[in-house]
Amino acid sequence: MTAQIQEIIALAAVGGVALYWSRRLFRAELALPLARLLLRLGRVKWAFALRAWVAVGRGRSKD
Amino acid sequence: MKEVRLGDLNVGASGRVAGLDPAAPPALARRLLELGMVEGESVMVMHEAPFGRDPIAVKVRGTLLALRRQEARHVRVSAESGAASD
Amino acid sequence: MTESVRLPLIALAGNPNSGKTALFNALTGSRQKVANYPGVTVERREGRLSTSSGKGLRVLDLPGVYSLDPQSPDEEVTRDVLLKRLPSEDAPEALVVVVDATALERSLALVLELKPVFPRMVVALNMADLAKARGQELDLQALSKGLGVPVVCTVATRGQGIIELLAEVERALEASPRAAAVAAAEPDHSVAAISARFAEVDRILKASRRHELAPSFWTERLDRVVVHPLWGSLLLGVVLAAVFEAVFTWAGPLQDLVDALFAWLGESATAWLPAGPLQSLIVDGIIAGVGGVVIFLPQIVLLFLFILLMEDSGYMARAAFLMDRIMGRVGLHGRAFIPLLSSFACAIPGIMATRTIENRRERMATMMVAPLMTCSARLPVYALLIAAFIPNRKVLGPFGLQGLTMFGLYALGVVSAMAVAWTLRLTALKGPQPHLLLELPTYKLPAWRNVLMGLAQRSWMFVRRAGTIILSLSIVIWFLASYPKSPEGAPGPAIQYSYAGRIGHAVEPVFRPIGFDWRISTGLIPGFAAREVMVGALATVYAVEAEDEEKLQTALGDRLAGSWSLATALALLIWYVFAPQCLSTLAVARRETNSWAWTGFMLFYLTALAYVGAFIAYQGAVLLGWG
Repeated sequence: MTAQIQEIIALAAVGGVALYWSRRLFRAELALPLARLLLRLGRVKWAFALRAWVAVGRGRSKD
Repeated sequence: MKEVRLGDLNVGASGRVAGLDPAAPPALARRLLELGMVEGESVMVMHEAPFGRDPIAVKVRGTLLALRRQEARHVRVSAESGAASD
Repeated sequence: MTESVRLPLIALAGNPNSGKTALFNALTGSRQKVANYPGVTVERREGRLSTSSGKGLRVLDLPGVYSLDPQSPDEEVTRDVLLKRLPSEDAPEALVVVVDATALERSLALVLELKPVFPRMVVALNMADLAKARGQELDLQALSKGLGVPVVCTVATRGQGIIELLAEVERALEASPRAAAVAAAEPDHSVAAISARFAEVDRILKASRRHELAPSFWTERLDRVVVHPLWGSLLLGVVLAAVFEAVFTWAGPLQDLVDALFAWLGESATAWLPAGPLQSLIVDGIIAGVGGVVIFLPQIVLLFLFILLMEDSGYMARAAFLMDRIMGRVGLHGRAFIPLLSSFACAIPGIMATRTIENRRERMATMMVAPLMTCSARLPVYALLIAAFIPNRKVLGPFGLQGLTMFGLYALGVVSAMAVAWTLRLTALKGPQPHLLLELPTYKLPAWRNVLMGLAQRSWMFVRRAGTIILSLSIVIWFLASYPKSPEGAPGPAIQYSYAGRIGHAVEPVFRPIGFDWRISTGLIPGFAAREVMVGALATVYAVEAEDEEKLQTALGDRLAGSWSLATALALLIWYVFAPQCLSTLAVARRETNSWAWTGFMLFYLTALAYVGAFIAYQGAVLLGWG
């Protein structure tokens, strides 16, 4: 394995972690307030899609 | 037979519950009742903790219940034996 | 998933200490899922079983209650499930009320309260063996007739009566139509209703009990010592000291084993992967970072074991009884001493253990001060600095200055925790001291099966909670300490060119008044994964290398003694007493407080204390001429 490939894998792992946590935090903390804001702005479809996405995560989560 | 408060009894003292103080906070009163402090039950002070002899452990309805003297003062007891502490 | 949803759900309810969880374990074995009810930190335990006729059932173990009149979040969950007020829960189709056969006078009142609310019910007369041994003789038919529901004798810890219980449950499910399970009446909590239920219990027992229950032989005799004001306090001291000793010494060999395992993993990975960034990520980042936390697992598992044994035997309630007055002085519950004791091993299980405290304010205050208890991750840092800076000489008879310093750091943590708890309960968490109404259960030999299952569940929860965070953090910190890379042929250790080094340089002016230079501030960053990782980080910053850990410690100690003043070392020790340098703790605090504001407050107040404390230590030491 060349150093370059190693570097790509290592940085991908870092990126993966960042993505995982930002998604998780967004879902847990920001998605619902954002959905509320969208609802107020009249973007009903977006708001409901967002809420449905959060609900799917809740149902699957074991915590 | 004189009426005293459960919270003022010494270890070894016993008596019968005469009722709860009407001034007791309602949530506390309901919980005391649920744990068996109903009128006519016999109660006996079994133990007291160190440091100010508080809380106390009281035998009531076949179980041993720990409570602070302050809470136990809401329980009116007609004393049978053992002197009340002052 | 969809299949299990369709299985009928039965719920287990009962008083605390009725052996409900033991029955749940006997019913479902290892087929359990432990999670939280949505939005609250109340444990939700569901399991699955199949009856002898092959029918699948789901079982929900509800939190223990004395009535449907809740006084804590746990009790609220039980009420809401039984009254079908919780939209996230399926309505149970049948209810098993677990009753302590040795405390019928009290516990049958719950059966009478639940019956009108949830008619499709079976009563499990648990601990029937203990009641029989104490001479109680019951006419089950008369009891069942008096209560108006089927009654089955069980000994949950030995799996007796389970088949009969399930047969009754199946009969209940088949007999009445589904509608019968729906709540018929609202529970009544008036004085008259409660008194009437107890009168009814007395009437039923008079008709069905042929021989009274004798007082528990052992409980009365043991309690003469165990809750005796003097002997009981001494015994509690001995028990706590023994637990402490065991956690720190017995865990030693196991910790060495874990250490060896991670060392082997690191070596294998080094041999298997060619040198390069990926090898560095796996060996220096992940294996070192995760290993640094897993090494505390033996201590934590041992601690959980002792806590479970104390809970199962009936000692825990007595310890809380003895400690109530002292803890009450600073506004904490008698039960708070267990989470705080756990925090000496690690604040994470400590914060998780605060769930046994019902009152929100007391629980919050306990969680806030848990990180002030000196956890074992701080020991390596203390040991390094004390060995390097505090002269090893005898003062005060047998006590050495080094040992006294260590003791002082522990004591500082405890005293500050008490002070902070007291302050919190007078300000932000102001409120009356909630009442203490605690049942002191009869002593029982712990059932190994329950203890081991509880141990496995709690340990797994710790591994899962801390594991995800530590793994992620190890990767992120590796990145911060490795990138950007140092320019070709640049002088000094590579880390000073990385983000971590740059952050260290950037915050140096802030830390200057407490005597930290950029190297220390850089070393603090990896410390966020786990405090003791700081030792390795300092070795990197100071470019100290040695073939094994012991030599590394000595070499690093010598190096630090050469480049830091005593004032700086003291300031860093004080910093470590307070600083919230552990992201896992903060993450668990976020989850358990369910509040960003409280988590933020914890981070803020601990950092402020750390800064002020280190400032006083540094400036004071400089004034004394130790700068």
